[in-house]
Amino acid sequence: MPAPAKKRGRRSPRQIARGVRRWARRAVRGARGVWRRSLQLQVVTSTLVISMTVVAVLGVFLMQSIVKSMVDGRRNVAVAEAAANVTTIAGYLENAPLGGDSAKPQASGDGAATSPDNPVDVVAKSLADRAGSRYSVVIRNDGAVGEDRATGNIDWRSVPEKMREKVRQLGPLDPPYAQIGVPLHFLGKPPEVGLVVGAKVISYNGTVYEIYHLFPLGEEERTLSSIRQLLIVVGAVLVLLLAAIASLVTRQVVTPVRLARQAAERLAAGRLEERLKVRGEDDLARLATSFNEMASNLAVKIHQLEELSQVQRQFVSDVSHELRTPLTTVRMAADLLYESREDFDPAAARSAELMQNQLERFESMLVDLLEISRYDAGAATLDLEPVDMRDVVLSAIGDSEALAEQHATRFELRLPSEPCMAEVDSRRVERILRNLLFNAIEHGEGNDIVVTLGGDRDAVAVAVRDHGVGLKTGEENLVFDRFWRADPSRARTIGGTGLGLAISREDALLHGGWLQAWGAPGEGTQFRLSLPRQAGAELKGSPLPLVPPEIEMRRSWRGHVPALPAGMGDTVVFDVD
Amino acid sequence: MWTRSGPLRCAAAAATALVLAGGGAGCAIIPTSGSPIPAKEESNSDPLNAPYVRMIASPPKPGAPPRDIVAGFRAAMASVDDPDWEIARKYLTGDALTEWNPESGVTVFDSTKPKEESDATGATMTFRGAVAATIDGDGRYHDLTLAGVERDVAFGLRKVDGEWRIFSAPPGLLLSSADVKRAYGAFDLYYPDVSSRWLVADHVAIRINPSESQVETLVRWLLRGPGGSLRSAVTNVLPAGTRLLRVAPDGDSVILDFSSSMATIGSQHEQLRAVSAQLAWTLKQVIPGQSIQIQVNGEPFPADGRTIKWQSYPEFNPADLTGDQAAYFMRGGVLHRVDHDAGDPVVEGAPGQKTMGFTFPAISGTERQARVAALGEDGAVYVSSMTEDSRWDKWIAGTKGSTLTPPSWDRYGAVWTAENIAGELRVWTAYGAAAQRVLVPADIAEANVEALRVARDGARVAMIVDSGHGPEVRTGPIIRDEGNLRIGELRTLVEAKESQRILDVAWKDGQHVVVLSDSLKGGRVYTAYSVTDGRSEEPKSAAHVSTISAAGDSLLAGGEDGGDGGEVLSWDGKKSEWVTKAKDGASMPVYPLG
Repeated sequence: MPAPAKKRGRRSPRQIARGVRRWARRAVRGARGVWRRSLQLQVVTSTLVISMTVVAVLGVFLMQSIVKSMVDGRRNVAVAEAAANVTTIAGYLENAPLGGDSAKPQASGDGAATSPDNPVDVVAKSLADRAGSRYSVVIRNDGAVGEDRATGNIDWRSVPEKMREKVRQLGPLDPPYAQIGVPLHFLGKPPEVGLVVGAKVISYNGTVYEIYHLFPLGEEERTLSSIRQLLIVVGAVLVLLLAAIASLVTRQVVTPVRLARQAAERLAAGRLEERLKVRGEDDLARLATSFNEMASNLAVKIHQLEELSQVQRQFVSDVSHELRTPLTTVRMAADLLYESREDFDPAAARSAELMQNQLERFESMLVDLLEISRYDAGAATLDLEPVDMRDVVLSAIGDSEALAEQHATRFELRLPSEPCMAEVDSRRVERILRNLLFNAIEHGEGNDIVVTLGGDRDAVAVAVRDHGVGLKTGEENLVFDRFWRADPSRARTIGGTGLGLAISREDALLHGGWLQAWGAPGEGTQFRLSLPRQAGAELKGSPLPLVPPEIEMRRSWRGHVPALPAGMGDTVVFDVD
Repeated sequence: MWTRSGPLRCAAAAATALVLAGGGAGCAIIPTSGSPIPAKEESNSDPLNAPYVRMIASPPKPGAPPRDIVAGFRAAMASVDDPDWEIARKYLTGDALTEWNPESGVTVFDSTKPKEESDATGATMTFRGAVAATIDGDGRYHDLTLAGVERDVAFGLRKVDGEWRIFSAPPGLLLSSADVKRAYGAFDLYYPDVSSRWLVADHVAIRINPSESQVETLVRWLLRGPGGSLRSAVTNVLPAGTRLLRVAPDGDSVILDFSSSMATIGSQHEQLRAVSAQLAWTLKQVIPGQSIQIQVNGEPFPADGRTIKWQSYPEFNPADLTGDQAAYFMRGGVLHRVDHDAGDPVVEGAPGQKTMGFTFPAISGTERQARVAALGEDGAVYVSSMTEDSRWDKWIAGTKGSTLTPPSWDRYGAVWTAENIAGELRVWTAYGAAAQRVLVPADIAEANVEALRVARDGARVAMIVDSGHGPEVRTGPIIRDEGNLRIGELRTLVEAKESQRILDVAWKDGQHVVVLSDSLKGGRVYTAYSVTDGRSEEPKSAAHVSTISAAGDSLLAGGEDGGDGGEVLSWDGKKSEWVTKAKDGASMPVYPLG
């Protein structure tokens, strides 16, 4: 099956590239995360980088100075040896041979190369014997044919042409030229780097000999190479050692810091008894001591505050209880007065009515106070039972009908046709709904109130919508505060004790549900109660929108023009969870 | 306080350490406590090469005159840089370019200034000089100095594209003696003799090859086997087809890496020993102080990886006479040992007793109880040993009426002699009472023989023969084909000259002979010759000397003092004169063998 393989083969490079890129990105992200989290890694890395730089710089300097001194030494020795050789040769060549026969000019090319005692041969032989394998000698004579000699297996082409030009221009007393780093070629042997020393000798009959000493530096190169390897190894070991030391030392610092962090986290989570172990007297020990002091001070303060709060709550509860007994007596007396008001003069009758009203309010306020103090004391309990939420809503509506009639307000009910079961405390839910309905009637300015019940698999929700003045920006939050009123100048007309919404929210929270408000000036208000169907289940979402659908639709019609005047189309959502 | 600010501290400590180390450099690194030790000079010599000088061949220069072209061509021929003669060929044109064959042999030619003739078409350079020698493909140097051949060698030149080029050149390589001295190395290649008991030298001139070491060159020559003059006289113990893969110095030794056919001798101890000795003794000339390791394809061979040193094979020593030799002479028919302090005592056994008038003794070896061969009064060769109660045995009787030449021992314990019967030359050898006939080449089959001496290594023979033109010295190998002895092709070492008498010949070692001759011009002289290359030394005066015997550089002669019989003389090389060793009728001094 070659075709699929081919196809796969064609596609795979791109895939591989993509995979690699993805992998690299993930790795970089992971590394960056690790880097950001680990102080130890940061310290070790910076130690590595710094020590590597230092070791590299030191190594380069060291190597340079070793190379320099070694090469210089070698060159000095080589030049001295070459100069001594050249002096000897010059002494031989500058004096005419004693034999009259060979005193004839020899550089004429006739029998020069074949003459038995050609001075070049004598010179070259003595140089070869002296040189051994340490260096090679090349003798050049451009003036004659067959006068060029080389010793050993050196390739005479190793002498650089530049060097030859320089040497040809040498004066009689000039020092020889030396050139280092010349590649020396050998016949039947690999080339080596070497040093060339070139000198010029003029014989008695004016023949010019260029004499080149070629010193191979392979041995030095090998030595330097092994020194360099040693330096690299030592440097690497040193850097790793420093990194290991840094890692060890950082760990000694980082471990207590990490312990302190964990302790602080636990403290923040409310475990005020958390303390650090104090060991020694160093900076970290002092940090631990301070941390412990802070933690204990904090615990003391919190304890004091708790006690204070407890006292206050107890006081409110006690006051409410204590007020009930005289209130009952007052109420009985007031009832008596109220029933017989027709016997009074109109002013007194009016006073009796007023007293009756305010006493009722006082009573309900006391009830609310008691209720809320129960919440504060954590004494509130749920009486759970599965109920059809439609019944609960209808029951709440029924309780509010009288008030609604007084305000000429009608209810618009949107209830599902199916039963909407939920495991709730129906008394408390009814109270919540009642509160919401009263609130809506009170602020609805006679407009219709829409009550919607919705449900899904996990949750049920009831939304109460009025079309009153609405809420200003930020008030969605404040409405649930105790004794908060939207317009302080407005008098309370219906049973509003200022605690209803606060209690409602406490009730909703007790169920594990949400009570949220939405409002916009001129658009009215909508409160939404969301409750889980199963008691204790976590609420993940609400079946009904918090913002009424028509408002949402209008907003999307206007398109995405958010530049509305502040507080106009601007809706603020506040979630209470 | 490492726990705090760790890395900083760490860096500070490192810096301190570095500073300390840097400061410490100021102190003495070179130890100041030293004691005097023997300062051996480090060897600067190449472990594989003796130093040598090469001629650099350069291509013809533009506009060079004819003499420079010829000189450049001769220099290129003398250069060893250029194994394919590419540079030399750049000087050639036309016929010379196609016909000139550098492989066809070397002529050593020493000349004076050339004569230059030029005409409209070209120029001719003519050298006049003597052919000093030739070198053949086997590396055999054949000295022709004494022959004194004068020759004209001409180079014809003409202009090609405005440049002079050679269009006719003498065939082969034309080198001067200096060129040969420079470009050739004279080496002894050693081959085991037929019994693989000792080594026989083959002296060759080998052209230096700068692209390989001399060790490599020598081993390659050994692998080629012995040259024509010694073929069949020696054995080639290196397995056929073996190649040398690599030569590398390794400390004090040199590794020779051979191809796998070398491994075939691993189980043959004798052969391996002979190969080792051959390599050790041959390479001793280039790397005297170093030992040799043999490898086969990089593996040590034999497997124990032992090194080979020539000192481990003393019995293979090609120079069979070492140090001061015992010498013997005859006085009154009795053999005496030369021992000045003891008053030249007679030897033990029959040779030390007056029995028959024995003459011309020959001693079989260096040990005290060696055997003695001598010519009896009846002309036969008798052998006895120098032990008590020994007696003379007749080994070679010869034909009635003929004369046997003085006996000569070879290293195998055989006595050699030659016999002249009317018109026929016979050579005999004997290990005992039964003599064996040795075949001789046809060109001397009818010659008159005056002396026959077997070389100390037993591989060659030197004879004084006269084929009618006068006496001449001829040498040749002894070919031992499984017991059938034969003398190989003889080469003339000393040619017959008019009114020249050759009195005696004696081997100095395996390759050099001393010839005692008498001519009208020079008087009686002795001359040392190299048998292998024909080179000779300056003749030295030898008046009154009649017999001669040599061992290495020692030379003994029997002479007439004019008074009562003879005396034994010894050559003092420093003073260049003869010194009397023994008098009173002492004669026929002889060293063992030879």
